[in-house]
Amino acid sequence: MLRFDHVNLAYGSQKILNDISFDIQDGQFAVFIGPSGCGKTTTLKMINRLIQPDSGHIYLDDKDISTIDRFELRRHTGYVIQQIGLFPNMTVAQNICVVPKLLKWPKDKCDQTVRELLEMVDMPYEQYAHKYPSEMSGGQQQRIGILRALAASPPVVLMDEPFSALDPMTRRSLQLEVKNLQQKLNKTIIFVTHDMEEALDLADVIIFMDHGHIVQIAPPEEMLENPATEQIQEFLGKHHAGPSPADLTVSHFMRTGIITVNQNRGINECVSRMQHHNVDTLLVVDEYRRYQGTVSIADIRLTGHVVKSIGPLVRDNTPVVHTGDNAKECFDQLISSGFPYLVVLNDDQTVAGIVTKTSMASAMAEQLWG
Amino acid sequence: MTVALIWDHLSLVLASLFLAVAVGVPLGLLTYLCPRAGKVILWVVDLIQTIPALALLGLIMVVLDPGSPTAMVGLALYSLLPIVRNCSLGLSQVPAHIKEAATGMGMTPAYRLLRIEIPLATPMLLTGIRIAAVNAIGTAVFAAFVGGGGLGGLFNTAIRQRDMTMILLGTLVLMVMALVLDAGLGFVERRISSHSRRKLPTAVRAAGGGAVALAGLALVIYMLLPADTAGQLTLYDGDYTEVKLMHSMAEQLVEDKTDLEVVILDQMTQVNNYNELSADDPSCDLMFSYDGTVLTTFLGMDTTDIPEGETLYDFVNEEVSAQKGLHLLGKVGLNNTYSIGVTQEVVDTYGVTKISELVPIAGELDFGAEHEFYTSEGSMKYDPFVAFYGLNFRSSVPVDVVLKYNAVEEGAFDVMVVYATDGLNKRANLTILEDDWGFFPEYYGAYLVRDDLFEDFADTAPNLEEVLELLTGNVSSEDMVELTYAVDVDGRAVAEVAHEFLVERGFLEA
Amino acid sequence: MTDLLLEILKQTAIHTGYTLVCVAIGFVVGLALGIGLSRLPRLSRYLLPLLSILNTVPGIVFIGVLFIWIGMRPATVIIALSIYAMFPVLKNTVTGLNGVDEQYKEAARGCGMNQLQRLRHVELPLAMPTIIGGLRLSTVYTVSWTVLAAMIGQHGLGDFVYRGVSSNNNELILQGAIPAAILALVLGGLVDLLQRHVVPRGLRNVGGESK
Repeated sequence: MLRFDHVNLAYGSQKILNDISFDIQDGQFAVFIGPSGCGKTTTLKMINRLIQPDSGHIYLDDKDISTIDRFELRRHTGYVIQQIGLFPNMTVAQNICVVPKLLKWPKDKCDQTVRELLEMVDMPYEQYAHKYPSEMSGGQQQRIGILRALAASPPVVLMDEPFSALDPMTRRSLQLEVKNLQQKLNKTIIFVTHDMEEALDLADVIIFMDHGHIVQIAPPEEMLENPATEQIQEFLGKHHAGPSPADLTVSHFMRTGIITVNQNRGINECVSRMQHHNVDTLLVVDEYRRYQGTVSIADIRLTGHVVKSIGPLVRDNTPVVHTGDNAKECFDQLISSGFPYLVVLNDDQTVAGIVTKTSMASAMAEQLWG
Repeated sequence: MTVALIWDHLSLVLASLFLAVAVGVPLGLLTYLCPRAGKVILWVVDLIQTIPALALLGLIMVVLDPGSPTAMVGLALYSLLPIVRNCSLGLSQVPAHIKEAATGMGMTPAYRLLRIEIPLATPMLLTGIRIAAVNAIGTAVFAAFVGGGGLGGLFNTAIRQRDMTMILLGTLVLMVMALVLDAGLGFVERRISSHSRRKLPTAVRAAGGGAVALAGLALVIYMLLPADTAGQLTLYDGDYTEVKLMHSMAEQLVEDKTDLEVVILDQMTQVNNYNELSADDPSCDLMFSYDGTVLTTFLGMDTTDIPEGETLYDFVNEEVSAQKGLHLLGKVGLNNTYSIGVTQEVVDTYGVTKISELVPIAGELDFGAEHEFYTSEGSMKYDPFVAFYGLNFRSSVPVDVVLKYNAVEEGAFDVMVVYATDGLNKRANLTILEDDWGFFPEYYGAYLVRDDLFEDFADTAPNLEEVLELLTGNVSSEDMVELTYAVDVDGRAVAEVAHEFLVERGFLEA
Repeated sequence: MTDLLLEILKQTAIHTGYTLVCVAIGFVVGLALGIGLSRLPRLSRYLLPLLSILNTVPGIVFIGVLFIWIGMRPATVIIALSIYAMFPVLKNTVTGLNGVDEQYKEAARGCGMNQLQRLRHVELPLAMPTIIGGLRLSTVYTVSWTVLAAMIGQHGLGDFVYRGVSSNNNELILQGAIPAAILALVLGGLVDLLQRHVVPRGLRNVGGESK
């Protein structure tokens, strides 16, 4: 359990943190949120003693952390930062092993850890372990950044706006991954963000801060229902208002920014695109960007060695809807068809997005709880 | 140290800096615009940087003749690297999105370069100029080796005289110069890179830039032009005390007894001074030299070339007049021949008085001389000398001419080539050995003048020849030892010592 | 002719020896001082500009003064040239270490590295391209400065240069200058090779910033 007990901090006459007290239970996903300068990052950095409080105490499992050697404390606390901060002079494997090495783990145990962790995020050891950060995309780098924080299996992991520099697609998939990892490994995660949607998606408990005060501590549903102040209301704002359920069309529910591939493209390009975006299916379009069907990695594995271009492998059995279609009909279709997603097309037959159960559910949750 | 000397140094630095900017910025632009040519350009300026400063100046000197132009060009070449590199680096570091925005707004490449890229690269370029400026101030000290003036001569004298105060003072001046120049350029850099509203109006800035460019151009031209010495008797300053003294005496006598004005320009070695005097368009009128030097060093002849029955002095005068249109005035008396000096310790141990007595003991002695004594031109050099006497020294060390007395005093060697009249022989307690087998020719000092000198000045100074001949036979070797001692050891000013001597001998009123 | 060649080879060997010794000493001292200074940002703000001004003290003057104090021996050359060789390394070490992106330092702190570990595993490797850039400058300059060894009878290629300048003999100057330039290029090339070896693969595409 993590406990802040009347923690204060000031730089000169400027109060940064004002009498901060809270508890976070083991295994909880706690998200700090609030406007810039509210003190959320400062609070986070106190947990691994990057910043010292002027007064008050912080307890980790009932032990005052000021009595723990700060280097030892940090080695047993995961830390992920917004700028990622992978050491560019080290390979992926070396980056992951920084803390285990500091803890003087034997070499084979380090290796084992790297393999297990990479496997957990579906990044094959052979392919990634010896790459350098500069050879990977931002999303992949931050995945490694998270693995580095988890490597020495710390009970508590601190995350300081880890996804805010990533593009929306990548951010989404990393959010899911982090949530999964947290539940699987039963970690306590302290997470700082300024993105309410992220907070609502991930948090077990949200701590809203402003001007160095804690304004409200509540689970997401409770905060949505009973925001303590107008300011929180404003932060939650867009999650409240919306068109009435009957007027909703598919465009409200779909995920956009879908990866497509031209039907004339070769197998290899297709595969590398899948790997790069970490997906197993691509939507296929023609030269006018009109939807033609889908191609999956399974089909490519099966017959990819026979054909050169992906044309022959395209399947067109995935159900198709249009952006203006009624949301409810679409929902029924998704449930009854048994396909994991529906393809959404614009009126000119170009791809607008897809509807998945997740995108449906989160859109409905938004409607329901604001 | 005089203000003139400091200005001399500073103007050399500024002129070369201006030249380097004028050449380096276009090269930097070219490097940026045409990367393939740029690679070659950067490689070449990098290569220049690897040539030792002294060697670079020496090489340019042979092409351009010694003097300010050589020093300026050499320094400019040395300053090229930081300027070219920073110019192209600054241009290539202009963010791509800014260039894209400029292009997107419809700017032509030339307009974009002029209005966007160059202004954004200017701070980087100025940093390069700052680096070049600070480096050039230090490197300009080498200019003295090639007659380029500046503070280098002062350092040479100060080191020779072990005058720590002067060395520190000179160093301090260099540092202050570097600080001021660096701060000034830093100010300009901040002014240009700050995007404040306090920026001066365009007209003022253009005027300022134009003024700087004009001033720089003027400075470069000033450096390139030979000094305007029309109607004046022109000499170069000597690179060692004896010549300085004799040139100063000539100046004082001529100015006192004729209506001529005398100017003494930058320091020159004997060889460089002779080259200037004997050039088709001589930049000076006379120099103090020695018959032996004229024979061996200047004319490249040997004592064996002198016909039987003729004296060295007479032979030299015929030859140099025939070949170069120069002649020696009367011998002033001193015979500043190369001599062999030995330390007191050698005298005490072996009791030697003649060079031939060194033969049996040479294997236990170390020999030292300036680098010039080890060159192969002429016969008055190391190899012929040891061969003539059959000497076989334990070791033989070439050392800077400025430092050799310091070296022998601290025991670096036992036997050293010296000039007979050098006051430092006395300081170093060296005993001059008799050249008993007669290897070294006479080196009788005399003024070497152009044959047409007295015609040229017939109107303004009809008595010039008489005045210059006043000293003939009146400055003995012993006199010169006293005089150089007063300067080199007592640290007195050359002009003052010369004046005192002239008064004492009745050539000048007190 | 062979005599001359032998003489050039001999002086080149002496020249190389001085260069290597001085660069090695200068590198070690410069690196150590640079690391020290980078820990004291306030001091280094004033000290670094001062050091670059000290750099204007001409080599001949410095060697001359040292010569008067210490005498005519290799130590004089080595001390003087080592100090000059130290400047670029020192400056680039401070610049390189100060230039390490804050995110890496924070990540390292967050991983629980202490000062020494941060320096060894993160800051020095990241600053290495810049530091080696300083070593390269220092090497090339030292080759050129070692000419001054001849000034106090310690030989090297300066013997040719000094003799050549004192007698206006281009051939002699070139006999010193060409081997010196070649030596500078070769040693510079070796440093470039070293650069490729010590700079981790992950940093190589940012190596261009080393200057």
